[in-house]
Amino acid sequence: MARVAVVLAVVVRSAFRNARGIGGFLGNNFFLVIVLLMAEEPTDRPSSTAIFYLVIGLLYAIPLANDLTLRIPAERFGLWPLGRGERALIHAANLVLNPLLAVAIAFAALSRHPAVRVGLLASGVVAPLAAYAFKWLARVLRRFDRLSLLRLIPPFPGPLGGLIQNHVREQLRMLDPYFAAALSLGGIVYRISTPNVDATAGLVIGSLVIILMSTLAQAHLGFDSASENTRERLLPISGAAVLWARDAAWFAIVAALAAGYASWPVVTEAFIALAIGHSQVARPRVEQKRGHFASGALWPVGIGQTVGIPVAGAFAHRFGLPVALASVVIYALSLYYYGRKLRRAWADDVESVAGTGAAGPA
Amino acid sequence: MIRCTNLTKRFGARAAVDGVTLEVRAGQVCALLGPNGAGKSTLLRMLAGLLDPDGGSASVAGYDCRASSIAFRRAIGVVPDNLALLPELTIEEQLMASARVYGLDRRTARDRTNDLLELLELSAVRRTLARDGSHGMRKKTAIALALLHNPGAVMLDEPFEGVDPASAESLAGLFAAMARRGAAVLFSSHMLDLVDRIATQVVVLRDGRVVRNEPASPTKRAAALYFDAIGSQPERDIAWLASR
Repeated sequence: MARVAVVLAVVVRSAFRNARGIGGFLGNNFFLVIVLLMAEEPTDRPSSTAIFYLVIGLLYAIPLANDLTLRIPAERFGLWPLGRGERALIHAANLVLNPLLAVAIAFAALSRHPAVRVGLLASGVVAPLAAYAFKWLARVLRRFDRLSLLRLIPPFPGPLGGLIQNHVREQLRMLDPYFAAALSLGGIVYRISTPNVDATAGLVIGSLVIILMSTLAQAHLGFDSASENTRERLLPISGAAVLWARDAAWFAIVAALAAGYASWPVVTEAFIALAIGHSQVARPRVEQKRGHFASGALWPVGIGQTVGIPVAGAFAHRFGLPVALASVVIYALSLYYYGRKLRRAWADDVESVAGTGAAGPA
Repeated sequence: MIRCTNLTKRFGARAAVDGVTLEVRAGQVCALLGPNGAGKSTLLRMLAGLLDPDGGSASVAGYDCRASSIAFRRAIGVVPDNLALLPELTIEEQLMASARVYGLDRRTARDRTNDLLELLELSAVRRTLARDGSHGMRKKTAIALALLHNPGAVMLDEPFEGVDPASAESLAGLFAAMARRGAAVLFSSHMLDLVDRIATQVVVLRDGRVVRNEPASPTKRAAALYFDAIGSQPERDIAWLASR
């Protein structure tokens, strides 16, 4: 029992020291949109959409409920002289210690609806179990890694084609594109199955797809391991080219996801999402974790994207092509400006800004 | 040519590199020796333009390292301490992607990739994701990436560590051949027998300073030079480790 307590103390301490999980959960633009939509909910009774928000919120939060023992390297955890029962006890403690339960309790205390309150508390308990299930599934899928569809993604044309290929695969390791794909497919099903389709539905779903993907658009450097970051800095290309390769990868994914909703507003929104997202490059990066939702800086970039995207879309809806062209110009200027800024940031303080993680002496 | 004068880098109060001056001319192979924490990787990172020095100057192939211009990056081949690989690409895809960025046409890129994969005995694992490869495979891939564009100056951080002895031998021969054809080669290593085989110049760093900078000599081996400069560690023991 003493050994279990020691391990749990280590786990909890590292969980508190590294609160990135909570930051990641809150740093996603789509989460912000859900919170804003929830604020519009009637206060006297739960609306029919409350369950929808709850499910989305839960899906977003599941990574937060991941087994805390994952903070200990698997090899180290495996080497520790713990019995089978002790290991099971440590994993079970995760049900109580996971930060999502604390978040769920806090939200439940704030909620005015008993039904929502019960739902939130249930989520706090169910989420770690769901996280276990996801982990198990991921482990099974990893056995078939050689069959991974991501490896079928070919290099793109042009000198930067290999870099774009790498970034597409990287971005498809995150949950955001799959969530956006589900939303996009749902919209298509709605349009096919509903006799009198709302004319603006396509526009709204297209916007939501862009907003859902917008955190990835600002998380440019967050994917970089120290290794990848060093490679990009060694390559004989400008900062703008480094950014463009990432943008092109993002755009390729978004083009596939929003193909059913292609319109000037959606194209405009995509360029604006990238243009605003660039401003994150000269700030300390927010590290991304594969298999999670993208995490970004909510202020000012995330808020800027969440507001800027629909505003740009509304303008493009009203004025059409000229606004779309203006968004391309804004994007190009942003690419040039922040590309230069990226190279300068690398030159000024190469380690901390770009996060190569190797700042210490050799 | 690789040249630096009074190059200094501080991390907080500690000088990781403290006024280092050295020159590696075209055709030379310079071995950078020193204990852990002596400043070898920091020095190489500054020379590669990856880390800004706090003082002094450095140039490689006539380009200022601090500016890290595109022309500078074209002129150098680097194996950094973290190997600098792209995680989502296979070993072969890494080489092809890099070759294209360096402006090689598709056919040349393909030919050079095949040559390097064969030379470094990576052909059998060419479709392995870089992040899934063994340390030795990843090290060899990083070396291939450094040589792919045939640079005039090559800087390698511990290129032999983690590589099997036969490959290390063949790599050492390759670096020596590159120098004979006019490249300046600077590498750090703890493998003193390989240093003896290929180095024409030996530099020993300690606490960020150059404590030896001599031409390699058949009469004075790298090990002797190293221990002269650094001194050897006394044999140590801990009582509870010795008892059972």
